[in-house]
Amino acid sequence: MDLSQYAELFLAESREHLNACNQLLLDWEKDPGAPEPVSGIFRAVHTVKGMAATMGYARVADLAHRMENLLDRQRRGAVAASDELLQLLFRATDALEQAIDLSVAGREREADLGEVLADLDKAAAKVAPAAAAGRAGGPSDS
Amino acid sequence: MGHTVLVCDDAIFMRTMISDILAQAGFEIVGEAETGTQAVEKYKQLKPELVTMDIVMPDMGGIDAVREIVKHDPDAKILMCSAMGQQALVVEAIQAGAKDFVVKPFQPSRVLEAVQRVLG
Repeated sequence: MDLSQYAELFLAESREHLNACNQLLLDWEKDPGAPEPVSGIFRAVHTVKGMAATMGYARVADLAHRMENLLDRQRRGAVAASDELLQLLFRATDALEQAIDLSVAGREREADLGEVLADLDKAAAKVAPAAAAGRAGGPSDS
Repeated sequence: MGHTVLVCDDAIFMRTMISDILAQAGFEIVGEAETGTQAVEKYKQLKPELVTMDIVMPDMGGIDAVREIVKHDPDAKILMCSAMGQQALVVEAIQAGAKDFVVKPFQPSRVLEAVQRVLG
């Protein structure tokens, strides 16, 4: 299957979801205890993950997966978002955008994600240190 | 004429790809839905022989849509499309009445195998 024919569609739709993420993060910043933004951001990131994996962009999918993991734990914890968490998610959304642009341009390997991936994992462990993520198998959207 | 299919996913990208895979294999795509609510409405309206259903969708999720469709038509043939790491939700979808599942990223051959299993 020739995936290149879907690259433009992937890029356009990913950008829509990233714009939605940024808007929802701003909403969340205004009301850190609100449950709606976290669910909306989770869905957007989840969609990007599925599309990126389908395109074979493993690094984009991995970054989206780790964001999803953090969001899932935050959602289950039902506690207000800290400023630190919000700044990390803004940064991760920017990194996701860059990784997507590079991947579509055929330069996925140039995406420098090491630091943001480590920070996402650290933050996820902090949100839910024990028995994390609820059900086995990672993030879900029940 | 090929079997009729309703493709449900909130991402245009995924709907386009699934539709292409199935259309190239001779299936007839009769409709697309981007939310669970739309999926239920279009199922009742179009009576497709097969439904592909994403799990995470806005409005009504895929699992609730499966429940609604099966309530309306216990013989509905629904194939779940899940992302990696959603095993628990896939089990829930099968319990709700879905017949089988495929995991993203999709390989056309896997999708077609699963579709054949669902159609029996």
